[in-house]
Amino acid sequence: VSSSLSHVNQVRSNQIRLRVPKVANVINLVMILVSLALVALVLSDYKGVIRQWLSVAVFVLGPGSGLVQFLRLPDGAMQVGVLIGISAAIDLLLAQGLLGIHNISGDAAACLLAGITCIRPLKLNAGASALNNGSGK
Amino acid sequence: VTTAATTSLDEPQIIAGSTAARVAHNVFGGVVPLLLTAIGYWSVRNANVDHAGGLGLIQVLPTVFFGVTFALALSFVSYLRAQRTHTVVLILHVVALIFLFDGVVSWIEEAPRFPVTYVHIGFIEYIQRTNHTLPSLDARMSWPAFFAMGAMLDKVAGIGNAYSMTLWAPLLFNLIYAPLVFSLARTITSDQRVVWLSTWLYFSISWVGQDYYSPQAVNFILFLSFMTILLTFFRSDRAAFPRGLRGLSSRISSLVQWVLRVPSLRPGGNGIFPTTTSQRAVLVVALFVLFAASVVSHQLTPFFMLFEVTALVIMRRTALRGFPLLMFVVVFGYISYGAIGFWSGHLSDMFGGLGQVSSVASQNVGAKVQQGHSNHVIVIYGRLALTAALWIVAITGLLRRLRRGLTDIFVMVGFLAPFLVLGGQSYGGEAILRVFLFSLPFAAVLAVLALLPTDAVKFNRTRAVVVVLVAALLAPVFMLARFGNEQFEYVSKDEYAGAQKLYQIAPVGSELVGIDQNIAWGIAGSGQYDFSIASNLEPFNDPNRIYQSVASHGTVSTYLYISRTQLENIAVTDGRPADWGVAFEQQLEASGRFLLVYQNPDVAIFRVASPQKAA
Repeated sequence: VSSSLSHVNQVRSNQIRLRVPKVANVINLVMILVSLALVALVLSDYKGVIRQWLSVAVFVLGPGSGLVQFLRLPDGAMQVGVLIGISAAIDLLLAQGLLGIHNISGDAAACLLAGITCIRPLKLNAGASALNNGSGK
Repeated sequence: VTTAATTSLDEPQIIAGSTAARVAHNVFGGVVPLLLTAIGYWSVRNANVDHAGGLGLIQVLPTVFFGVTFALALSFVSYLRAQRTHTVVLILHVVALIFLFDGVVSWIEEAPRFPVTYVHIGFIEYIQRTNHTLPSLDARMSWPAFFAMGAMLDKVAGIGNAYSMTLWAPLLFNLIYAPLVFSLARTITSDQRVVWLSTWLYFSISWVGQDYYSPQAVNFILFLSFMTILLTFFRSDRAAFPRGLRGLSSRISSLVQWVLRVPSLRPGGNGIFPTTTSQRAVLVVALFVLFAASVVSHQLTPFFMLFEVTALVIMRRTALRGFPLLMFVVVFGYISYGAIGFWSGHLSDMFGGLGQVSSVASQNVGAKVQQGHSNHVIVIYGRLALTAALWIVAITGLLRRLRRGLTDIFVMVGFLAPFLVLGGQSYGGEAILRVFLFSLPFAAVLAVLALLPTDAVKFNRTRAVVVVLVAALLAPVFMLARFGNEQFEYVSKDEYAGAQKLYQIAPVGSELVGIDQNIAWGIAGSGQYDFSIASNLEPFNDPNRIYQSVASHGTVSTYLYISRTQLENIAVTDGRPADWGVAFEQQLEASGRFLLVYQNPDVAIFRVASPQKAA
């Protein structure tokens, strides 16, 4: 009984790893488009409420949406929460860096944030295959 | 462990009845919170915050609003008990709660509340203008990352200052906290009822109001993310104590078992997720990034993180045993180098309170209770009562779990570790607020566990009625505790217009003088003007004495800035009559030493006569 239970647990744990929700992935796809649109608006010096809304969206969701996928978080709520946390951390560190060189440039910031937003795992389930091969125990 | 993880996170909803009935149930369940939110916002359309008295916003909110909050709680509990409820329905209820509790004030008020918000707008404006920080201006400028981020956001968004970002910030921050509070609760228990109820409780009781446009609001996101990752992936329930402590640990366990008459003890908490080595490496990097961002942006939050991890290591509840050392090096490295502008002249401010817990507690609680108007004292007692009640119920929850043989040591650590900050310093009398805030996600879960200690305990009708009644009671208490100071924390559009006018009137290099710290004026001009708060103004009915305090100290010119928030704060804390400011301004003008140069309903700006002219 113990042996079969252990087997069931292992299968289930692998299923958890395979079933990483795609919430962050979907948000990331949207944010890539939004961040690129924002870069276009910033570089063209468009002023308006759309640019403000897009800026807030990119600051809150952008940088973390790609990076959080590397963490392979096991549920959607956690992905959303932590991606916002990582976005905030990246925003803060980026701002601190730009302040350090005494050049907080809107153009540079928009481009850098868009660039970080575009960093995403090429294969979402890459880690799961390692687990299935037994290396993740 | 893995079984618990699997069943808790991916447990399918039990579907009862036909598909049509289920769809109708969930559609209706989704409409109810939306409708109640709309009614709640409609009900406060005529609420005038100018009429808020000593008890704050609660005095201008209509009864319908509280009826709506009661109906929302009733609906939430009903849908939570129903087995066929879709998760989205519960999410909408929590979102509606946040809109009603944290967003309604932005709907009622015309400008961002809380004078400190305007100070932050000013710091951001300075960095936006100069690309430098100014540590000599304020201690907060030694941790400038948030203000630099604000400046960066303003530049990317193409706006002149951060004012437009601040009005709805509390609502946005609380919406952001929601998934993190929920996820953190999930690490503590696999019981979905407890997870949802504790999330609900968190937003019904989080009165400390640190969610305005501020470094601490962003840092709380970092803290919640940090703790969620730490407790989901790096928790350890079976790590043995060092050999010397094993006997002691065993004896304590035996004592607890004997006192509570429990046959055996086992760790509580949801499952710990299995991870690959590379995943763990990435997760540690994420923890470090979150911590590093906190270190450069806020004075206090890194210490909450450090205390939490250190306490978990000491109690053998995390696998990251070396991490506290790294955190210690980073935080003190930054303070030594990055914040030198602050600590070089303020060592006693930083470390003077070390070990003086009773003194710090006295500054945080006793001094506040003793000061001010009777209504203001009611607000303070309301806050203390709410805080004490939560902590008592949370400890009850911990004990009820122990009676069932479940040791929630890591939850206890999460709940208690923030209290270590009280052994450091008073943080301007606000340390206890922060302790409450940072322990709240854990306290909320423990409080719900007092009602539902294990999965086996049914969420029956009696318990549901208790929850609804508590929720109904919490709504007015929350409004009293959270917005009880609205009389002097509310900032009007006239006051903002007055602050803008100040910088048009006063030449660069002028000295700008206020009469109270509760002042919403620093929206611009940092580094260009000499700001000060006049002291020794008593008695207020002696303009000559006031003149001596504020007369020019060799600057281009001096302006006395009097605004509603300052007058209201003095009235409340000194127990003055509500209209004392009118007489005060008339005396100033009649003295001939103060020339009124601008006035609107909430602001009066006086140019102070030069000494030669006055003579």
